[in-house]
Amino acid sequence: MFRISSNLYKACIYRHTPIRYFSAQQPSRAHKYMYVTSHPDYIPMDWKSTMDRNAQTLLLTELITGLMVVIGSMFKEPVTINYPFEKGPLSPRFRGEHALRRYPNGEERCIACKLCEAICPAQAITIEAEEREDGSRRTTRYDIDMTKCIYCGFCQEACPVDAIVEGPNFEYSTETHEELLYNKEKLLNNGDRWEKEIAANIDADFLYR
Amino acid sequence: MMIKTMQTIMTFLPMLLTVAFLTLMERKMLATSQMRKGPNIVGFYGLLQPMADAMKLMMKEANKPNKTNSLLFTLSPMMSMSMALTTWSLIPLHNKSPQSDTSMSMIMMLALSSLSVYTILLTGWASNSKYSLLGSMRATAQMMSYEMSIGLMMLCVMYLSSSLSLSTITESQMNIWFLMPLFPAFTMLLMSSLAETNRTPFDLTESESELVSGFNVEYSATLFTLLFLAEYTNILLMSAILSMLFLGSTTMNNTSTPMMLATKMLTITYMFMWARATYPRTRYDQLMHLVWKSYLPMSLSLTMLIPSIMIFFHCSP
Amino acid sequence: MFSWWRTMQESGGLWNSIKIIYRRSDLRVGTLVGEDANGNKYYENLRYQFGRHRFVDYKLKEFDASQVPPEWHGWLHYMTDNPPTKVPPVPRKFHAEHQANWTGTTKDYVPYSTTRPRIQSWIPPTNKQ
Repeated sequence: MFRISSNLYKACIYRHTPIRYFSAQQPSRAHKYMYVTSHPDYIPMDWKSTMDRNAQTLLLTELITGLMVVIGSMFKEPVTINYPFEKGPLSPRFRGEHALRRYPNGEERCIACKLCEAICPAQAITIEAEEREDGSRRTTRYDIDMTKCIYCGFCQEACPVDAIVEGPNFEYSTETHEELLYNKEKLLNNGDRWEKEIAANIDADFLYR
Repeated sequence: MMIKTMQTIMTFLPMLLTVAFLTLMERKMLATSQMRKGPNIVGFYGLLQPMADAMKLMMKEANKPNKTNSLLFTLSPMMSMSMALTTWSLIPLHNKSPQSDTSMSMIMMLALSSLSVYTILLTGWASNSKYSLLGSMRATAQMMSYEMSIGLMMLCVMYLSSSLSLSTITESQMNIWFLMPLFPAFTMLLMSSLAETNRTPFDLTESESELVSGFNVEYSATLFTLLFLAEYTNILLMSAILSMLFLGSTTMNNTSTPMMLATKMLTITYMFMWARATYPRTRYDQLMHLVWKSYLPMSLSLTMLIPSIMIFFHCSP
Repeated sequence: MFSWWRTMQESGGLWNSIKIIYRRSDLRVGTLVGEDANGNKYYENLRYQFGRHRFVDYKLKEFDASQVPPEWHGWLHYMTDNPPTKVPPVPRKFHAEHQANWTGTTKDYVPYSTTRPRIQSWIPPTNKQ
């Protein structure tokens, strides 16, 4: 009873720490060996223990302790997030929808070295390359099949020029299968859309890569 | 005649609404005790969820297994709902005469609860599936065993009030609730009601998360709705019986208001759901051990003890 | 946090609170941190639980979680503590405007081949008399 009231007193002064309102924390029994079955040699038969056991059976002590624990957790704030309005916490390293990046002057970074295609464990990337009109080495086909992709991030680790990255977007679900077969640069250069955030995430993370 | 019809409708309509919202209350209560929110999208804070559930269940495909007796298949959910609703007519909701004015309401109530055991039997048998048959056999054995304990507890209350009619029992609790002298009987009746209505911790035959609802696995749509609502009506019924027999229904400190009955019933219903949130499921042999080796001897000894105390103190009514 | 009365007053009264509960199924108040180009408003309230202290109020009636533009996306998902009002993103000339997820509508993306066709079909000779 004293332990319960001291918990309530603590709840009154420390308002934002989680406190179990109606539970009394039991002393730790880590130092005693507890037998699993109640062997008759080990059940103490003196008066105090017998009366304790009887009171426990008749007055349902541990059952009521369990009920009080549940009541205590009723008064805690629920942890459900209200999805489209609140979202769950993520990290700058989060691997979501892929994007192809560009240099600050507008030139696309990808030089068709095909390291990402080689390392992809699911063989989701397909690349074809040709010489562009101005003589530089660029891709003509860069397809990522988002349904084969396992979102491991190996492609962004393998890329020597940081062209292919996994952006932070995960809310791109579609109603048809075809929309998820991302074609060459068309949609992946809608990583132009996400460049602000991708650049900020890479800034936060590049020291650890 | 007209007045009687109106009275009947006025009793049953709020009761059906209560049963519908009881399903929501259970989900919200379980969620709150698990630090999450229950259904809160459908109406304001989830209040229209029972309507959405009812509409969804009514619109599902109602299929019947091939080689079953369609009379039994259709009859048993209807019978279970009817039993649950009929027993409600015996309860004096406003301390005057109940809907059907009987002087032996308690025996009627016991009889109707025993009839609802038949519905579980028929449900399992009519599903033509060995799993539901086994589930219903176990559920029947469980319900029948706990009914003995419930009957003996009601007998103890009858000793103290010397009448079988619920309105007389209510009046005789004006001074003191029967909770005080008969506290162990109240505890045992509470736990036996949990077992009688197949609630956790005694719900192994319909354990929702494991067995896909046990003996009513072949039911869908409207028939399942009836079984489901019958279970919640039984919970309300048991809490009404408990609050009438032990906590004085409608009486509090020598005053008598119907709101007190509602409060007490809600408290006991809350305790049913509280128990569901707290306890794990018992094993079947632990359940049977409880009734045959613990509750039955205790209740029998109580039925011997109470009259002997009353005779000894010369206060037998 | 039983300060329902205060929350209702800060949300603008009873009728406004009812409208908010109908749309968002939750009544939360917070300080307005900023507003983006589409009109979605972003709020923060550090008195709430950690992990639920930032939320967005969409402008459109048919709201969608993908309507959050990238500059606010990082702040809303707790990746960074700097909203774009405090640390604006570095402007580049190739930045494109953000679009929501158009799947199911007519504006959705359909894949096409980006290489030139390998097989050039034969142009039949025209009969010139």
